[in-house]
Amino acid sequence: MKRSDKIVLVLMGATSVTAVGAYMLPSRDQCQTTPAAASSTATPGAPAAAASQPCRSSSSSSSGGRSWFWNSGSRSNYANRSNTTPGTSAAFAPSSRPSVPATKSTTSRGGFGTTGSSFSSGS
Amino acid sequence: MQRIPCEERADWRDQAAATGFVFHTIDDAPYWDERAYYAFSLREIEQDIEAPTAELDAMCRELVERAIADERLMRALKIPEKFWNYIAASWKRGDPSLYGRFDLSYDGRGPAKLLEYNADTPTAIFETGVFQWLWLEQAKERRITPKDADQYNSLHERLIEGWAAIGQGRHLHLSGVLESEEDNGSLAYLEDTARQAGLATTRIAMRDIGRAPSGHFVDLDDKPIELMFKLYPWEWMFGEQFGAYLAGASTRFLEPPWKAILSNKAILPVLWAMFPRHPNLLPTYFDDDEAAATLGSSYVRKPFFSREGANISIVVGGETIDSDEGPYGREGFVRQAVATLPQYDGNYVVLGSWIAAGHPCGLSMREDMSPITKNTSRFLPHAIIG
Repeated sequence: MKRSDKIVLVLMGATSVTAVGAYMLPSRDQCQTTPAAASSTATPGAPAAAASQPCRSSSSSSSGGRSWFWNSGSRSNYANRSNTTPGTSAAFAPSSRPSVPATKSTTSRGGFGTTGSSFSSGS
Repeated sequence: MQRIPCEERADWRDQAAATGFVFHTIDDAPYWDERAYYAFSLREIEQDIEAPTAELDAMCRELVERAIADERLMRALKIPEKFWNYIAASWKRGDPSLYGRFDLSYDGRGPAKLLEYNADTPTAIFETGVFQWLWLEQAKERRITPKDADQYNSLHERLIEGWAAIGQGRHLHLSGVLESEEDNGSLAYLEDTARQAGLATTRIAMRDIGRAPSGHFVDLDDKPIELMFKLYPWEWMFGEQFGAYLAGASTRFLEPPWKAILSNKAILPVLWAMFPRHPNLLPTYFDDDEAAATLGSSYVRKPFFSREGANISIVVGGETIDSDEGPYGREGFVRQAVATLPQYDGNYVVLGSWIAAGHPCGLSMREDMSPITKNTSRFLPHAIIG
């Protein structure tokens, strides 16, 4: 429905000790996200843009020009994708750690997660 | 809409292993099942699935707007009173949503009907966004589907788009029950999409989240958690020890607190009251509402809060013909008119229609021999043919 002509192989959980494998991402047509559609990201009170279907193209172009990328981890292979949201390029800068100073004094833990030890969280 | 039996790819299990899709088989039974696929026309997708999904999302947002201004509604939804202000603040502040999934009954011969809205912790996201697309690409090459087959699936791109808009340079923590293979796999995939959007990430188990004397929720390095995706239901967090500190903490959550209103089957009678006879809704009433009698002796009884089909009963002619046990129901039940899921080759099928970054963007198909969809219900791919 909307796919680029790239296949991307990314390492799942590259920063995690619990990484269990890699995702082989399929090719995707490059869609042309309109600024209006891009700016409507899930703002409360703003209904989904039903009329905005910028990526209606078929997948017929997705079979050519394949290339493979390894995600090196810290930066996105998609940073230069055509559907990068206009006006949000700052979000693609390397993320910094939270700016609030760390607390060295006593931290309590275990206050979340007690219910989930018994039931599935997903739905 | 058709169910088309087909050859499975001989190497799909190897590919699943290579991509980290480790929960493709559950309890020795197939979860991922490509021995058939569902075929849709483009008209069915656009008019019957995509457009109604956008409309349902808008209706749900209208319900939230109404609920935060009406104590009676918050009470009817069994939202704990001490969290009303917390939830209302998140709505008024404009806390963004990343994603959700509407479960629909649809057979191609009439409008899709909303069965429930998985607004808070929807899963089946990797198999929807990635593995079924991989199937389509190879199915076309291997002549399993027509060469020009397509798929209703831009979930992956929408997730990245959503993260980019939400992240804004903030560090993202992702949390859940990491011991669960499926939950951890879903978190790993979402983490990957966030990283592709440029966010720095840390995964942490819910039980490892700390609370510092300053009131901040912190990670295992005692670093404050600024933005957290939680694959963990709001109603559980509200009831746990740290729930009392949510309002005083600076952490912003995904899904946001206002999704606690929508991740509740009690919205179904409220939607029906707000939008009576809407073509995509089923008549639904609170269990103790006299109007529930209008459904007669046939209905589906669902707890306000439940997951994976637990504690749902199908009653026909006054007799329970199917039910699934579970721990839910303390808060109450709703009765929904029976919309028997369509059957194909003896399999009941339910559609999961995804919305991410504010856009309807994908479809998942779940099959079961029972009309109640459970966590073991099989996932089949789909294609747009013609």
